[in-house]
Formats: sequence, C-alpha cells, structure tokens
Amino acid sequence: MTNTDTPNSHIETSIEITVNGIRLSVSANHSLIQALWKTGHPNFKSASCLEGVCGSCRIMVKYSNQPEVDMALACQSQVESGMQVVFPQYLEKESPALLNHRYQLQSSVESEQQLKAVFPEAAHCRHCHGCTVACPKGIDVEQGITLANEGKLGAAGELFINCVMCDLCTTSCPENIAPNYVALFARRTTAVNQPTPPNLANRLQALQRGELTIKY
Amino acid sequence: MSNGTPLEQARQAYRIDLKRPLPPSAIDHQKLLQDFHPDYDSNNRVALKVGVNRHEPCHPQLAALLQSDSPTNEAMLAAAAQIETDVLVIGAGGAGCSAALVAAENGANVLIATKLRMGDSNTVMAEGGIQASIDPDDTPQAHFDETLKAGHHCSDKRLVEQMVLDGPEVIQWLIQQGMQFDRDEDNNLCTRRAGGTSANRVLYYRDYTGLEMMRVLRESVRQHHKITTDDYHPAVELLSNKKGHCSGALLYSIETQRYTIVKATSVILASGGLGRMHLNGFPTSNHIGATGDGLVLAYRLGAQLQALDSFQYHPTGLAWPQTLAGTLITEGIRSAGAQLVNSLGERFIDELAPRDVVCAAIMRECAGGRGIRLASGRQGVWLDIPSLEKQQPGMLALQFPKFMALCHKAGIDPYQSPLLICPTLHYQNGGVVINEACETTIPGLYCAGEVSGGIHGKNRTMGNALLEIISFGRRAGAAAATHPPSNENQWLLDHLKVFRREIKNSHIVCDTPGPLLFPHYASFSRKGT
Repeated sequence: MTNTDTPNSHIETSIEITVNGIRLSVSANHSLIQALWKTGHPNFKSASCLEGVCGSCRIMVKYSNQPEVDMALACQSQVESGMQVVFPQYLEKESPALLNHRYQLQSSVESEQQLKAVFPEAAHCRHCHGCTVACPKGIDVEQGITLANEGKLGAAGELFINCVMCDLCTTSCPENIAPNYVALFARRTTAVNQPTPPNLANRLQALQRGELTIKY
Repeated sequence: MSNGTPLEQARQAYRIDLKRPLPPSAIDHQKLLQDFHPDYDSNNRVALKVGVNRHEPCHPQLAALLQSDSPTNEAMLAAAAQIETDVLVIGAGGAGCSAALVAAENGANVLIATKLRMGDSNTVMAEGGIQASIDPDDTPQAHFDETLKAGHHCSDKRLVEQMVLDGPEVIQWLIQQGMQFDRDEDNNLCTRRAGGTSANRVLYYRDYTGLEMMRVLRESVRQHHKITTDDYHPAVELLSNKKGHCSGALLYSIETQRYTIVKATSVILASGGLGRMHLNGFPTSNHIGATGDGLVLAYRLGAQLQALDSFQYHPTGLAWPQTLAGTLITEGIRSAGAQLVNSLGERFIDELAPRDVVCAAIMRECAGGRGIRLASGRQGVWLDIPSLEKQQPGMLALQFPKFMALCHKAGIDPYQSPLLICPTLHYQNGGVVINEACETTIPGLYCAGEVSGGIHGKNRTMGNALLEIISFGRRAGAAAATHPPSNENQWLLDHLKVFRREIKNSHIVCDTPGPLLFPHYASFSRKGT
C-alpha cells in the first residue's frame, strides 16, 4: 500500500477483484471489507470487529502473482488487483469436529488424561501441516497439537495467544481434530492450575473479613 | 479553525525525545471540556418529545432513533414461530455470556440471541484491561472515589459501590472460567494505571484482555448444557403482557428472514453500545453491530433511560492511514509511558488525565493550529511511540502484540514513526436505568453492560467497562433466573401502539425506522419492512 498523504491521495483508482465468484470493480487503498462496503455490496455477516480479533471475516485468498491460496482476515487484507477471494462458510455447530468436547476444568494432575479422554482424535495427528498453513494468524498449530499430546499443556496454549477462534485449522484437519479447541482447553487448564495470585488472595480475604467498605 | 502542519512536513520535523518538558499543570479541566468536548456543544443536545424521558436532553441522532417508528407489525407476529425459555439473553458479548452462565448455574434454561455470532462484540476488542482494586497500595474506596470523580459525580453511587466491591471476586471468577492474566515473578497479577486514577488498578493479558476473556467465556457458554445460542438472530422488538411487563422478544433471522417469538420468564438486554451511529460524524472504535438497538427496544417498552447526551470519545483513535481511521490505540500504551505531542514537538496535557479531558485537549491543539493536518483536512496529534520504545527497549513486542499487528497492517514502523491520532467515538456513558439487581423500570426486563447506564456518570475510565460487564452481567443472570413467572401469559405489541400514538401526536417525522441493526454502509435490509 502507499504511505503517502498527498493532496491527490483521495482520488481513488479502481481495480478488479473476484469475490465468491463475482467480479467486482472496487477502489484501491482499502481493506477488502471497506472496499465491499463502498461498492454497495451487502456485507454484514462476514464482518464484526474490523480489528482482526473476532475471526468473522476469514477468507481464502489467491493473489494473481502467487500460485498458493492463503488464509487471511478480510478486515486485515488490502485489496489488490486480480485477487480472488472466497468467504468460506463456518462449520455447522453439529459438525463432528465440534461435538463431544464437553469437559469440566480440573486440576493439572488429571489434565493430561482428560485431554486424551475429551479430545481422543488429537493423538491421530498426521503432521500434514494443513492446520498450520490454514492459520491466518501465523500460529504453529501443528506444533501446539504435538505439545498437547506430549502433555505440555502450558507450552501448547502459549502458542495460541493470538488465536481468534476462526476455526480454519479445524476446517482443514483431515482427522477431525479441532486444534483451536484443544489449545483453548490447554490454556484454560493452565489458567485454573496456576497458583492463586497473592495480591488477589489477600484482597479477597480482607473483603471477606469485612475490612474494606465504602463511605460516601 | 487553523490549518495545522501538513503530515509530511510534521513527520520530517519529528524527533525521538526522551526529555520533553512536562505539560502545563495549571489547566482548567472544566473550561477545556466546555470549550472543546463534543458533549458540551449545545448543538449536540435536543429535548426528547415522547416516552418516559420526555423533555430530557438527548443527542439529536440518538433522539431521532429513539423516536423512530418500528417496522414491526402484528402480521409478523402471526406468522412467527414460537419458542419458550426461562431466560432470554439478547447480546452475546461479555455481559450477555456471563449473564447466561450465571442464570444457567442457577438452574434456568437460557437462550442467547445475538445479531452476529456469539462473541462478536466490543468486549473482544478491549485492550487496556479490567479494573479491580487488588494492589496493596489501593483500596476499593479509592476505586469508588475515582470512578465517581472521572464521571463528574453523575454516577449512581450504589451501583459503583457494588461494582468496586465485586472487582476482586470478578477476577477470581474469570480465572475459574480459565482466563489468563499477566503475572509478575511472584505470581501476583500485574497492574497498571488508568487515566484519571491514582493507583495501579488495571489487570490485563498483554493487549488482548478482551480477546482472552471472550475466548474463555464463549467456550464456557458453548460447554454449558442449559444454554442454547442463536447466532444471526437480532431482537427487533420486545414483547409485553397485559400488565405491560416484558414477556419476551421478537427475533429476526438474518439467514432465513423469518421471525421467531421467544416467550421468556425474564429478558436480559445486553446488547452493547452505539458507536456505529457515528455521532457528530466521528469515526468509531466499535464493532459493526454497535447500533444502539437495545436502547430503542427498551425505550419503546417504557423503560427509563438516562444520560443520553453523554458519550466517550476515546482520545487515541488512529487518524492515518485514512482506511483505518477510528481504530483504537489502547490507553495501556499511555499507561506504559507514551506521550502525546503536538506539531511543535510539545506535550500539552497529562496523558493520564481522564479520557474526556485528554480528548478535549487534543481538539484544542487542532483548533489552535498545533495539529497535524491530513490532505482531507482532518487533523490529529502525535502519539510518540518511538521515544517510549527507546526508553524501554523491547516493551512493544512483549506487551502490545495487538498494537504491533495494527502497525504492520497500517504500514507504520512504530520504532521510527509516531502515530497520528485523533479522538474516536468509543462508548455510551448513559443507557437504561438499572438498580443493583440489574432490574429496569419494566418488570421482567433486566439490563447489563454498555446498554445500561448510571455506572460511569459522564465519563468512563479504562478498565471499568470490562469490570462492569462481568460484575453486572453475573448479577443480571442471578436475578433473572429467579424472576417469578407471571400469571399474564401474553406476547403483545401493545406498548408499541401507545408509543406510535405518542409519536403521531408529537408530529415527529420518522424517516429511518429503528432499530438500525447495521450501519447503512453494510447494505443490510430487513425483509418485509
């Protein structure tokens, strides 16, 4: 993109892109979402935060100068001439990869067995890299599954700090593993098993003893 | 209005400087607000003509929406499918999800209806953190006093008292849901200062506090067998029984264009704010669904609202590049030491003064010719990130990953270039009147989160929004779950008839129907309207 602010920079050039198979003429220097809005193309289902943290605008995108298809977020992607975009459907709530993962958070002693019981398919990882390639946030998803399978839940969860739960890794897994949900399990288990923070514990006790009240 | 310095010229004049003199301390905050804050401009206030809040001041754009006609009619009701639940939660951000979880824990069957998907909300974007008085040097009393002071003493004290005392328990509950917070080497939760406060009271997880919170709450909800969620189902009207109590809502499916009547023992409105109304033409930091729907629905049902002329313009929205205008830059970065600098290279306000004061100070600089001007004519000031990084090398990448992703997207090198910022519409300070149990003035209708009012007075401090949504969300869930069933089992639009008559008698011309549901540029249209 151009980073200039000249008196003429508001004059917009028009470029051609393809969205869900439809050719559109859009103005350059916009994110894909903004460009769609400017053309009057209805778009309210595949956009929400516009800051790259909600995952609702995930896309598959192919640029004219590269052979591979990338996964990205439309609000974070500048329009480029000749880009081809598909907004893939989210998995149905009833899809196999998203079912049967009910659990109660438990202490870390049991968490490794719990992972095996709740996500038995995680052990079937073929190391095909599909999930890692699919991640629009650049997370090493496959490594996360490997670490989780080794019982290293803390390290596994740490890889997913940037995860926006767009489910693209889940969509791409041939073994119906839901890597982002495995990682979220790992992160939540890690959180509940950390030692109680002393500053929080002290304050809670003081409140319980009725030592801290409010005067108007 | 003066012109300011053109962007390129200002950029070349910019220097990293670790020793900028302090800003002038003897600034009259009240005068600054009077002269430069949009809320204090008399053009931004009209008297409402209909409804419970008649004769009270309201922002003109919001007044037009509150007094708009509804496209809903009896025929839609007649053709609608019907479902029943104990508690209906409208909205699935932090307030809605925590309300649903606690209502379900109290034994209620819960339906969450949301316009977008569960978790698509302003919560997920919250960066700064969540306030809770846990630092040994801090007290709930200080939290209470400073919340009131920042809000110009317009808050409901009982609500603020309850919220600040809830703070530590809210954090404990979030950790039990599986939420992580940044910790120091002794396992204490890290804290930092919010603008307008004296103590370190904001807890955080990187600059992803809202994302981490929403990931965890969404999963807790998904896991709960007593909660059902309906994505893409905005509520387009509340329903009442013969006593005028709230008895449910009419949902509209964005996917099938069909209507559903939800019969509920109680309804929790947790539908958030209205940034996408772009009040006064301001850009906004809000997600696309923030169109004030909840206020419209509640007002038509007869619920009392308050402080409808008070909004937060967050000081640091990105001003350039223009395609990202309005995107928020977290106050956390000013907490960490980033300074605001005008085109002369001078600081002009304590960066951690209350948000409304900092906003007004930025607008003063721009009006006084000390701003930096874009080709479009818009002006901003510098947020001096390079000097901060030079002072604390490595801190940006470690503490502010979301900010760094924004810089990457904007094509800005934050190690070399300052960021051009200007205020962005961020938060609705007022809203539906509630009591400590989140009850509105209409029996059966509860409210939690940004749609409710009374907590933040006329100005909110960083981190009190995340605290509010969980504190009041949980309380709304507990109260709504124990709401007694009514003997009057009707699901009517009678309140709408009364409201329409008032509109007609007041000779109000309605050109846009409400609720908006989406900003106009999303090109949404509701079938049959």
